[in-house]
Amino acid sequence: MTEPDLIKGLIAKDSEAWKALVDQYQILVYNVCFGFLQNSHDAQDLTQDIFIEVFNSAHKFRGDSKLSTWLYRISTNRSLNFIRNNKKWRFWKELSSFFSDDESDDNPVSEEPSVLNENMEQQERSRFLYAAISNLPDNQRIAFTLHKIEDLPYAEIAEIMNVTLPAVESLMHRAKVNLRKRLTPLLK
Amino acid sequence: MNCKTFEEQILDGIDINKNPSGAKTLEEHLAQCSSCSAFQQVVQSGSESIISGRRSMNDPELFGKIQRRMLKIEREDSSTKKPVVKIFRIGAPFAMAAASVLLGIWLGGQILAFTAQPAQGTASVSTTPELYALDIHLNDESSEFIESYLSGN
Ligand SMILES: [Zn+2]
Repeated sequence: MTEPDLIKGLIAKDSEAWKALVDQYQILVYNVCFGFLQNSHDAQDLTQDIFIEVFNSAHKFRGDSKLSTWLYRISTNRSLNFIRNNKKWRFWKELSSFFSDDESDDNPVSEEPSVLNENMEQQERSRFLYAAISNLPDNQRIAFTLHKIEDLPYAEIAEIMNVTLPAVESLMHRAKVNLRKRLTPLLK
Repeated sequence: MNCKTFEEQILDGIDINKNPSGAKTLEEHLAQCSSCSAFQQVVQSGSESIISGRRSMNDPELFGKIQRRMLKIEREDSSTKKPVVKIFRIGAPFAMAAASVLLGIWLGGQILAFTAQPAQGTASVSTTPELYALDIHLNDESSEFIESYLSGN
């Protein structure tokens, strides 16, 4: 199904068009959500919500950008809203996962304590980058995530964020400066 | 170049194909700078961790799940709307009764106000009831009664 046909079908609430949209774009939507949330269960839930929203608001799509741009925009906004609305819940979830020993199931029982500690330290360190990205201001976080994780060019990010190309360049520069500032003290 | 520049390059994920000399300089620096080397490891393992849960294949069940979720939302919506309808059905006659009582009180008050003004001029006596009848849409009988009552006084 071509993009114009898909859009027409969505506006007409045609279930075939809707199914085609889900099939064609579910990886994009899920991966954007996962990139922001870093939790597969939440990303799956949010993906479903996003497709329902798209179905209900297809008539609002003006058609002046690609469907994927619109989906990136909705997925990004919804992910950040989800994080904002679930901040307290996430805090407790992170805290409980930190203290729970679920992770030890992945490690062979016979491993020496020093190896276990090293693995735990590595796992902890691998979360540093995500923690630092999470603490960026929203606009810098969006630009950095879309460019570095989604591998999108600046021009497309500018369209998704509805800003100019130099604005994206500036956001990326500030994001990198802030990430460097946040990461270097953790390594000392 | 200082460590700050190298750290920014690491965050940029310097592309070896695009910038082979830059990549070589960075590699040489990493070999002799433990701080930048640690930084590079954190960025690399962090990037791997962030992308590790990404999907590359469709979930064939997703469309069905979305449809079921939509049905559930619709059902929840309709079940939460029912009490509102019931309240409205019960509430409408009550609201009408209350409105009638209030209208009665208001009308009574207005008539009493007229009777409390015996020394009015002829002009005001002839115009006020007409305006009154128009204002609250009294029927002809009521307005005639009021007119005769006022002229009698
Ligand atoms: Zn260095």
